[in-house]
Amino acid sequence: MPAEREDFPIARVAALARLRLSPAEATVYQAQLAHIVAFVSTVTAAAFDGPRPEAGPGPVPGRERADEVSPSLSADAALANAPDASGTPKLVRVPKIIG
Amino acid sequence: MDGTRDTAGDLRTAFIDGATTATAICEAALARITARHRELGAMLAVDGASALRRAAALDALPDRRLAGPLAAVPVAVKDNICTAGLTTTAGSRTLADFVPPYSATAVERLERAGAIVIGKTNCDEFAMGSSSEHSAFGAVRNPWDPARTPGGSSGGSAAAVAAGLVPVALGSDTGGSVRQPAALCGCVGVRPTYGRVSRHGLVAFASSLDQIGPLTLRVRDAAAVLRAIAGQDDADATSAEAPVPDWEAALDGDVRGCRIGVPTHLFGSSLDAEVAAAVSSALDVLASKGARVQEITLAHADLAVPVYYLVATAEASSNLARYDGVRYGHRAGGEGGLRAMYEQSRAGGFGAEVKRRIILGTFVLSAGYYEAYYLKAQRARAHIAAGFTSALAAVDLIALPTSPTPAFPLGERLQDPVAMYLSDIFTVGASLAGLPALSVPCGFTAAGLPVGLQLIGRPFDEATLLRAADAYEGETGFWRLAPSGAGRSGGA
Repeated sequence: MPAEREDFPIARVAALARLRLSPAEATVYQAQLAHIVAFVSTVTAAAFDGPRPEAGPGPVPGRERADEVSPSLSADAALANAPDASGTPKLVRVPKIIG
Repeated sequence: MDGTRDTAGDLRTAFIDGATTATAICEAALARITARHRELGAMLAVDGASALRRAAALDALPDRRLAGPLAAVPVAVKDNICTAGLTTTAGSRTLADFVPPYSATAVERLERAGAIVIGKTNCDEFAMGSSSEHSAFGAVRNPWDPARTPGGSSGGSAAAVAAGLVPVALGSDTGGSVRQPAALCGCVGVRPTYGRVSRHGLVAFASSLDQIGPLTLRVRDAAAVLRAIAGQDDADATSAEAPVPDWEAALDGDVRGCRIGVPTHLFGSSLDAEVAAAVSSALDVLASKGARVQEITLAHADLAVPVYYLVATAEASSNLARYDGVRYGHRAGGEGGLRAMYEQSRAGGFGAEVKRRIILGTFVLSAGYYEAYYLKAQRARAHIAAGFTSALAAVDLIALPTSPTPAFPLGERLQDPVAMYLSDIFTVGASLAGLPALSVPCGFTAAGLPVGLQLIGRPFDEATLLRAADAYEGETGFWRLAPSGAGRSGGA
């Protein structure tokens, strides 16, 4: 159901979006998002039925290509912009997940 | 001539005829960019060395006629379109150092047509904005009035063309990001039919809406650029196999019998009176040339802005999930584990508007809200598209103002996101319906600010759009007027 203007769940949604907000940001966004949600809620008030629509403006061309290996980026090229990568072949490094 | 009103066609002809060289053309464009770079903020990167190497290669060709339909034409590319070896930031801090290992298909095709990529243009971060103020690298200024925005998100591309830095730029249009800045800067901007131009190499914002399109001084140039970049591409499954005609060759100035529908019921109180007058005069001109202008109704179009901001932000929240500080982009922290690294990297890498849209998009896709917001918006989108289809069964084109107002002052709408979103009120409908649309200059306000006329056509019928716009342009010639800083007298 539509959210009420005054209770936009900013902390829960920011966590879902993997965004860390400062308390000041959270306050500003909560007010702005409540206003925006009220604005877009004109859509929720309108009555539209029918089958579940396409996700885009029309049907996506149903083209298939041959199931064959084709030229692509090397692993090194694909990871050349990784902030922390090393080794041969190149691998990305992330913070430890399992203690 | 100072070169600021040389069209792509002029430059190619001069190059083919031997009146000039590609090197001289590039050097002149680079000099104009250097002279106005700080003032306008339109460019984020300039690759003069590569451009001049490519120009020298064109000059060395034994037969210049083989150099392609855009031979020796300097082109600026919006910075959310990948260029191999040249930084592509999408206006975001998170991609400040991103150097793509490949070029977008549209860029490859431009170069194959003989164009010379000279640099990258500033834009709203990840193309999210209507003023080009949401760039991590500073705002773009409007060449007609530097205290005002050039529109957005392709504001750098529009400002670069309007100021005469380059005759052609590429932009991307999700909800109006080519057409609206084109209108506010007084140049031509085309949003092709969805699927007409490959999105391969375009930094994704909202994948069911994004399209790459040209910004140019003249309609004729837009037709030539569109032909160069259009066509099916194996790297984009949504690109269409529709034939790519020679639109430029079909421009004959004849608009007789063309039925143009005008949905005046959408012209609310937010429509500026001078914009309304300029658009009305433009329709009179088209009628005087034989077009049949008539009133039409566009069902559900009044819901287009809220529907657009539900659909586009949902897709953005999904597309931008990839910026997690692992494979590319800004990385912060590391203390506190993987999740903390994600959250800190994204918080530090994204600007305010991008965060706002990610949060809205995440919200409308989240459990308990998906059906009320996202699914409802998708259903409404289908009804809006059906409204366009119905209208375009009775007319060949739909005419609207491109923007409800002329260029607005920098900062005016930054603190009011809804006011900023309403800048797109006349452009988002065609985006949702996947239709081709363009903006062509149609006059000036008393303060000398450009106004754009928007024309919307049937799917893959860019031909009718371009013919009508060319006929109008030929009758009026607003493209010849340049902002005073571009070395010519100001607009009317």
